[in-house]
Amino acid sequence: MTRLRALLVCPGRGSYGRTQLGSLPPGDPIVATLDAFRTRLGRPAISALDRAPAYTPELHVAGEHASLLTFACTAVDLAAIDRDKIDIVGITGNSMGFYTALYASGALDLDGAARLIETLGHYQAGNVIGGQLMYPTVDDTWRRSAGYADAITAALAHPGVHVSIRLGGTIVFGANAEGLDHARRVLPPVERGGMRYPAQLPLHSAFHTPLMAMTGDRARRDLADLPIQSPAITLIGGDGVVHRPWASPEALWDYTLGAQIVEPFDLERAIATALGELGPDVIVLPGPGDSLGSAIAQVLIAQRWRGLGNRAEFTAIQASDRPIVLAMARPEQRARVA
Amino acid sequence: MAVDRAPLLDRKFLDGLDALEDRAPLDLDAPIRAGSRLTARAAIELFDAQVASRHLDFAARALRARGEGFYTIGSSGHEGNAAVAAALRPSDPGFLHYRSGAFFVTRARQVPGQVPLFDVLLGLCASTDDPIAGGRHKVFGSHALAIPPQTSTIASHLPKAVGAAVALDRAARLGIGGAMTTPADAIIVCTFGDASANHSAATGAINTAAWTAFQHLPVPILFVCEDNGIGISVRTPTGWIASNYGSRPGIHYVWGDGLDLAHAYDAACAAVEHVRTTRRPAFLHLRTVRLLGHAGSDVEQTYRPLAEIEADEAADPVLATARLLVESGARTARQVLWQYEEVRARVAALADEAARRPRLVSAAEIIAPLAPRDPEAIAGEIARPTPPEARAALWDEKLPEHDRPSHLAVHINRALGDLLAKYPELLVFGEDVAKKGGVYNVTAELSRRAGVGRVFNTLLDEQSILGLAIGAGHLGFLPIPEIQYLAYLHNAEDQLRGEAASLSFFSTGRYKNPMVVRIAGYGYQKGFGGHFHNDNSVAVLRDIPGIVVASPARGDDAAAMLRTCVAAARQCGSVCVFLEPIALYMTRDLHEPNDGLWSQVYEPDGAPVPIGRARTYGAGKDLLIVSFANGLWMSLRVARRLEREHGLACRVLDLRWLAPLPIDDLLREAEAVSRVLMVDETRRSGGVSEGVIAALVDRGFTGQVTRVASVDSFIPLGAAANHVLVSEADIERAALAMCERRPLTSVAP
Repeated sequence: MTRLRALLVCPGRGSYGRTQLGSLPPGDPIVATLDAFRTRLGRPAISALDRAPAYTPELHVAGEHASLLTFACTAVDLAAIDRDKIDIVGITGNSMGFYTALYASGALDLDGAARLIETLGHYQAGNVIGGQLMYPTVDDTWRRSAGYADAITAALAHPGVHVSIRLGGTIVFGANAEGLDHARRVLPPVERGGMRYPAQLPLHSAFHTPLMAMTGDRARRDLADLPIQSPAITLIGGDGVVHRPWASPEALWDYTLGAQIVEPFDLERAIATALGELGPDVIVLPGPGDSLGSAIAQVLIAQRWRGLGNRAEFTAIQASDRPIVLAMARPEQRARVA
Repeated sequence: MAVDRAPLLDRKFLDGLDALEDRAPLDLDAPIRAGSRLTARAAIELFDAQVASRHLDFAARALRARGEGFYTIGSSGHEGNAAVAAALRPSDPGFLHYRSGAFFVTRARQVPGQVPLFDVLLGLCASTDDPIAGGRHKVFGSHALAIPPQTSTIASHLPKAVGAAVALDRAARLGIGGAMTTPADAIIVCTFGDASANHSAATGAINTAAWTAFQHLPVPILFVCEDNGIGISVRTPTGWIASNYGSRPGIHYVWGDGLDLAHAYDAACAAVEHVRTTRRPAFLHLRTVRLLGHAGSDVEQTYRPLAEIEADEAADPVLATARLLVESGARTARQVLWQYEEVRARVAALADEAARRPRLVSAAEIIAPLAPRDPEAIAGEIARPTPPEARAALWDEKLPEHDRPSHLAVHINRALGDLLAKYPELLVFGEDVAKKGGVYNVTAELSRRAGVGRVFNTLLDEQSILGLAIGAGHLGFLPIPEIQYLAYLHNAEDQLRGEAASLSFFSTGRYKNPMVVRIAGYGYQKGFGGHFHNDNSVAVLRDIPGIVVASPARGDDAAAMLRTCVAAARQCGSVCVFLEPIALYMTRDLHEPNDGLWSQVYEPDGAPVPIGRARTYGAGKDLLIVSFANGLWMSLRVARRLEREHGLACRVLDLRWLAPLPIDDLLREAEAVSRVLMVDETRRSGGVSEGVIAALVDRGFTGQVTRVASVDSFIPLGAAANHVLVSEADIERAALAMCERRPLTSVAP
């Protein structure tokens, strides 16, 4: 059987939702390791969060818990990928998912990844800095729409508003309180797929903006000895830099705890670079939920990959016998991967 | 039967790798070889680019075989040029030849978010998604990578590379460096092959760099001659490049072994440092081999002994780097194999995707970037005022609009002066334009007024003059080069045709080289000068797609049209040619001595003359005479005689623009009169009248049309010149014949 050449896109923290409760397999050694790690720190075990009777924002959205929980789900999925079916040719991730990507690529082992994610996640406990606001850049058909450009420019005109993430057909602003107020004022309301935009991500700091400079400084001190290695599999950063298996560990550490924290995370550029450099057959989305799938699809459409021109064409290709995005949260797509 | 050597080369690499034995691991931050500046990590990275380049060559042939690719000139054997890219910065403008795959990939790796493999494959497939040429040609080019696209088949990119190098430091010296997109400490790199090094464009450009450096003027350029010892089937004599370029005055020669990555890198670093620190040229002579023939269609075995081909294959630089990596302990053979095969798989997958991408489907789509002129933007630019203090300073407080009426040469001079005042980035240069003020005084005093940094003499080489214009235009200058005589354009016209005019086309408008080339031309110099100073051949200009050719006949038009051309160059990147009739430079009168009818007061804000708009004299209904330049002046004189002596009411149309022709104005006037006489001082064959008459026919004009044109001849000395040039008598006879007043007797054949 010919293995599918796959790009892996690891999801960020917002992807563990209500329906993911109880999704971690009991007795999984990765979960056990992470549980032990959290227990040593005196924090609720990951499996306990997953088995909680109800989904609560304090446990399942807050960065100090949701980060490692999301990572755990993704790491379990990564282990389940059948390497006889899937040849992972490159890895990237969205925002916190980049830390997971470090693990998936072999640049960090499980302990190192857990330490990185837990450290950055725990900084958030009672310390949310500013906020993140999502706004669309594509129309209903997921094609780039110039109609939003003026409003986005107006939002960014405020000194407290920054680009945080370029998330396919969504731009995520990171802003301080005044910036958030300004952005909400100048961004006309948009209804899309049951969501109203601008939409604020709950309990999210203004990641990937200069507002996180002190967090970055702290992380560089606290994680000075984080044992980042050259990745075993090609890794693409949120700046579009391709880290090949001989990449400098120092450069990767520097990016991870430097620019990555205070400069925009351009997932669109990361995926576009991965497409144009690696030519994957499929894009595999491990981890909880499939909400990142639409962002990936919007990048595919922007890149006209495999001729995709709009949402309907993407939906058709997904329904064909050669789907291009394989979300492991979807059983029928997971079957092609695991 | 010809053997496809691509699979053989591939097999030889794998066999060669198989024979290597692993060594103790080397720290990747250690030199790959004792004494080298190349670290093991950097060597692995460069190997990756070399492998990518090699697999792109294989893919080009596979795509060609499938009918999905259209270009097979490859880079195999030249992969050592990855080391040159590594020694440079990605902001150093690169003018690359067509074997630059590894250079291109290496540079792309220095800039985040680049996808060089896919971009090259899109070019091979002639897809509109190719981000530089948009399917118009396979080029190595990228705006993000400071690599203007080249086709480079005849070394025609060297003059502009030298021009860019000369312009680079001039920007800083003129204090306008901040407006340039290229860093002030950048250097220019220009690559070419050993066979191309013999081309006149190359020898001229290298000579110009030497001439410049010899005078201790900055010309920070790295010439990279990738010497594979053969040009298609013609061998380069052994030692020729080293002997020819090893000891040129002003040029630092460095030899590098492009078959040995570490040596190539160290040599490239030394050469780059020389250029960057001294701002003087270096010539990096890089040994390479040519593998897989000249192109995919080249059956190398028909003219090269097999042993020679196999010897080159044995020197494969990609295998040499693999050997270096394994024998140093930087990589295991297994890791190298993984890298080689991983890149192969990526290129194959990307080739499939590239082959599916759209292609150009209409002429309109193809020519879209040729001449995207924006009349409103041009008009706005013309109207943008010049700071009064800048004018006052340039003209020493004596503003030229207060002068007496003057002739063409003075108007051009004044317009140039005002343009120098308006645009700090505008340069005027050519042979004798500085202190001498040009052969005809057109640039008199401008060098003193604007400074020798902006109005300066060049060496006597038209190719270099146009190359400087292109290079300076690339960097953000507004160049106004002067070609002293039209006949001198012809030895350099490819710089306009193949390079300047094609840049926007081959870069889908991402690169522009704005310029206004002033050329003194045409005949009627009372027998003096002969062919070389009276040339009336414009065919080479008329068919260059996209360029603007202006040809004023009178001073006020000339000033306005020059302003229009400069505005078009600045706003739209237009390449303009300004053809000035020498015989009218000093002409003050029209009908009678001292009537002053061909002189006007200079108006700095005179009415603008849009591109492609004619001027009509009179409103007669008997005959429309169409002409331009000297022909216009003669036609006006004849028109008055026809009216006075024969009662014929003529109107006379001055085309003013030879490209694009003012067809709407022409047709409007022609239909108002229905009888058209074209008076064309250029040659009957290939001259302007061919275009005018064809345009009338194309647009359905059904009236009577005839023409008088100069004879298909070179212009002789003395009074004999009049036998081959259009004369007023010719015009008059033709006009009378058309109007059936007298039979036509001897119009030029």
